[in-house]
Amino acid sequence: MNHLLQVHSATIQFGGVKALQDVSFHLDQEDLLGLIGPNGAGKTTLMRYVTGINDSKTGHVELSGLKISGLPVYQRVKLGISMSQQLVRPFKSMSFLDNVVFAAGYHKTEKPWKTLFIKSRIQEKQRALTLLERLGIADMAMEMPEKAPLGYLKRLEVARAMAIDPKILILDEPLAGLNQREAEKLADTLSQLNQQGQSMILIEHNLREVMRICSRLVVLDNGRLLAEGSPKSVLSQSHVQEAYLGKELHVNP
Amino acid sequence: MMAYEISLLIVMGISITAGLSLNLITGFCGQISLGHAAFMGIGAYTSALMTKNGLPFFPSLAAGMLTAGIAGIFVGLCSLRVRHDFLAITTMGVGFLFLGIVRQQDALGGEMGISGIPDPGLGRIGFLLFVMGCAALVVYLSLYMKRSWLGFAFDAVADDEDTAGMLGLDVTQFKLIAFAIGTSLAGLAGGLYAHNIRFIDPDSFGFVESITVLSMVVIGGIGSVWGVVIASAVLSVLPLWFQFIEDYKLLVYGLLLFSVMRFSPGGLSALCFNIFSFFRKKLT
Repeated sequence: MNHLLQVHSATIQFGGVKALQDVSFHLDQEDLLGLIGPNGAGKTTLMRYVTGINDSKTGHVELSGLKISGLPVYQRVKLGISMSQQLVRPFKSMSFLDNVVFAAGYHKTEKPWKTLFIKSRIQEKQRALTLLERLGIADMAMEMPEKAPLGYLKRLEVARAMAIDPKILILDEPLAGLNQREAEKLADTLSQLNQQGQSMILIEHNLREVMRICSRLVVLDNGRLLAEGSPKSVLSQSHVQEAYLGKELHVNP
Repeated sequence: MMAYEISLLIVMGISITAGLSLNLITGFCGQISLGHAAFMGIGAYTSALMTKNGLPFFPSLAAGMLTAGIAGIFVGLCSLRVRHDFLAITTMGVGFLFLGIVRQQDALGGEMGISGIPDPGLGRIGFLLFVMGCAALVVYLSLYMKRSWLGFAFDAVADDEDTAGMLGLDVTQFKLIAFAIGTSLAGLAGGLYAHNIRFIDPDSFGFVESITVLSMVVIGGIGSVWGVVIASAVLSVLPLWFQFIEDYKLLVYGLLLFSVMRFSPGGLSALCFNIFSFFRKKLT
């Protein structure tokens, strides 16, 4: 059977640094996969490989059995892969609402020449408002992103990524910059979304929330796949603890 | 109306068309161009050669738009890989390439240019009305475009093209559309220019002209339709009113460009908006 997403031996090199070495993993329908590992482990690079921002000659990516490596970013997005960025990049000339309205209008911008003759934004506004409410940032709808706090911008990234109705939603550290209460709430929202059938990959350092909501974990360290499996089984492995916490703790757990 | 005023208004109308055509590319879609005069030149040379060979004015003007638009798409395709400063240099190169080719072609009049371009046969007032009609149409198109999803997508591309791509936007296509529409309208402005002055030479579409058009866009306020209309109208007639501005054109426009970038990067439109909101705050 085909997995929803399958990455075969991805290797990516930046100059002399091997950011990823022969990493393979898969994502199944309705999974909420946590991608964890220390800083610089290659998590973001791996996801940027999936979306096509970083491409490599070795290895390949399959979406529902269809090979998508080699396709440009926007085409992979159209096929259903959506990623929110770790470093927030809102459209600065647009309000919170318009940022999401633009994303929600993805089917209107599909045929570039036709966009000149389309004006209505009513449906997209509705959808955008619903998303902003769901993420708890509807009070900022009319504000410009320039002066907004990071916690809001993070959630704006998530809202925009959700607005294009992806098959796979990839979120890069969406909880960073949120306080514990906000983080918990957003994690709950993501968990709900997952239960409604949304397949997701979550890069996250907040292990407490990761353990609480993820169904499977993939651990990267130094560009290599360290472990894979259910959250409990993965985190009980000694080499995972070593990578995360250092060797001393392993002696006296 | 006096002949002199008619001439001024015609020059204004052509400048507004030219300014807005660059505004579509640089203002709306965020792609800087330092070679815009080349596309005006392509439109001017195409239409002038056609009318000189006995073809009627309107089809010739349309052909000028078409060739300029095709050249624009071609240049757009070639510069898809470059951004920002590099795009500025590439488009500047296109401007010089155009000059270099035109200067060497006897068929295009070489250094001597093309003189004796036929009158469009509309009469001075008729021509003025036609030019104003073109300018009004381009204003309308710009305003309409801003509210359409095309303008929305241009905003996204101008803001951050990588992010636009991450949301599934085919950025390449949108850039090409901006180039196609913007350069064909530049071709229109060029065709009108040629049949107004009835003489063109390579210097009519040189680097100084490209900078002049860019000044109109930047001073008016990058992306602001009415700002660019006003800046184009004023900047186009200033050199006709004051001889020293004509003599020191590059210096004056350079100084204006610099002051705008330094003191009000949003141009006149942002300046007006800021003054307006300042007084509104005072009043309330």
